[in-house]
Amino acid sequence: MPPSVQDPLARLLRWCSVQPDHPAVVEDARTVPYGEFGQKVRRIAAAIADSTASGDSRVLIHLAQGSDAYAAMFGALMAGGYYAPVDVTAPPERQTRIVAGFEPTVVVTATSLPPHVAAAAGQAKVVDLSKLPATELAEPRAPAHLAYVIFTSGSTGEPKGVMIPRRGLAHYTAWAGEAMAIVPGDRWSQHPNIAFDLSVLDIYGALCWGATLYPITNRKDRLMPGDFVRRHRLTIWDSVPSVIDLMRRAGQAGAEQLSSLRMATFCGEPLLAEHLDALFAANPGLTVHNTYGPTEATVSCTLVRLSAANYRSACGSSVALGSAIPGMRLDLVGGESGEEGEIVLSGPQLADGYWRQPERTSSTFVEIDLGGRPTRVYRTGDWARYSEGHLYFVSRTDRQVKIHGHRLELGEVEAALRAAGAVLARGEVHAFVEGVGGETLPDLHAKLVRRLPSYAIPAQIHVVERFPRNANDKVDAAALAKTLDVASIGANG
Amino acid sequence: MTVTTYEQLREIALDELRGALERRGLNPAQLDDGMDLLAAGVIDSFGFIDLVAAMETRSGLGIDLAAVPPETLTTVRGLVQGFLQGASA
Repeated sequence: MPPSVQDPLARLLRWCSVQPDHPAVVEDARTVPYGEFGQKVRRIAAAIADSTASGDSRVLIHLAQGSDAYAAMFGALMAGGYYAPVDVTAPPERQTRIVAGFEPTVVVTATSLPPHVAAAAGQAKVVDLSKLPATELAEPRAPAHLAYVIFTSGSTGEPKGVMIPRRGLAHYTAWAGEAMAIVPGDRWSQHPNIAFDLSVLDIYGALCWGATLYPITNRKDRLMPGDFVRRHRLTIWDSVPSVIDLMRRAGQAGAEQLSSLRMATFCGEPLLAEHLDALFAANPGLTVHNTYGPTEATVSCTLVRLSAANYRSACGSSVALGSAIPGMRLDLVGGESGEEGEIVLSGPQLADGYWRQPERTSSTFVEIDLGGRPTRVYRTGDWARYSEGHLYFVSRTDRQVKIHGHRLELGEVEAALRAAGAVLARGEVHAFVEGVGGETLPDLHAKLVRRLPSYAIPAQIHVVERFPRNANDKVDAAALAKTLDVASIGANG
Repeated sequence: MTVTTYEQLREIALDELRGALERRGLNPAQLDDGMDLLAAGVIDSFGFIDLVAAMETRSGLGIDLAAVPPETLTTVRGLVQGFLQGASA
């Protein structure tokens, strides 16, 4: 275990006390110092606590990326509650499903809620930050068991809420601070949307260790973050490998953009040797952390530390996943030897399970024998293999895919179209429909835009006369993929 | 050809987007210039970079993306107007 698994809220409040003038969050139009940030946290906590009993605050955060959203997260924890962040740019139907599924007791927002969110929130109390009372909560309430619930893609079309306990968040935050040697002088980007769990590393890593967070909110900067790194002389950058591809394509992955960085951390999808070639060519002094982990194990739970001198030894078909971090355990099961198998994870960062889905929880969070002891593990669905001492990702065992770092269940696409099949081919989602009924293809596309995030919208909708079906009369996704002339697919069948 | 008008730049953009639109069952001739191309899943961030680069190459004009209002950055209208601003600067 890391030397000190202190609660994240206590860590933050300490920095608010010892360095009140140090910038906590730097936004385009304003800088929020730690002292002011702490006051906002205490005021939000007071407003939440005013409306609910301790441990009973389910706080929906309906705020854009930025200091208010971060303060609302800590405010929910201080009020003895837990929270679910929502991507306010997500399609209305997706937001509605998350809000209705979470059934918040409190909604924190900065404006009047959109009608679809307000309707789904029912009787929840609304804390409007534009009218926040000056009253501050003096002392934190007793912590709830959970810290947050992050909703990811669900195979039935319903977003799936992953319940992360506060002790899991504390463990992860403690590890991040130690492993990354975070100091108050660090300037850290905040690129992933707050509804995506990779943002947890930025937010808690920076604010629990006294560093300064720089949310990337400008549309152009989000598309091409290299110039953002340069302008703010950032020292830590946390992202998904696809963004390196994007920056290279935009001519923004050179020394001019990346020379201020001391560390870059990646998670969410396979990192490739060509990514590292580009990064170390731009900044030979850089340290790169490649990490691996699902939302169900609190962001990430492995690490391989790479430098310009050693990275080639960790490059196979992709960069090695690394070893389990202290306190967490990684095992391979189901393979023909111990050198290959499905990754199962255990340790304090494991989620409690899925929000109000006990059957799904019991199918993936299972107890198995590890070293003679029954141990609760999470079955990741990731197949991996050891080669020359390094662990490498091989493939998924189910129908979960990654689109530019975004996790997507192909079943969610199929559910949005009802009678449909979906496959991943050449990095794009393709949907198949059996005729179009009374709907036109533009109708189907419009339906998808209302329900799915942009990365999940199929690159192409193929109309087939009749679906190929397997012996169980299920749509044969492998046969559909063959019509696209692809060898590998993100589908079963 | 010297590209100087909204319609000429729009035609270049639509030509570049034609394949992506048609694959999604959308008719380029009926495209709303104000449609957010990313939110609608027509292109992703990679496609956006490629679109800007292609428009620069084919028009011979440059664009200062930072000067384009963020809310219109990923629309045909916003991009075309950004190029026109670059041409007149």
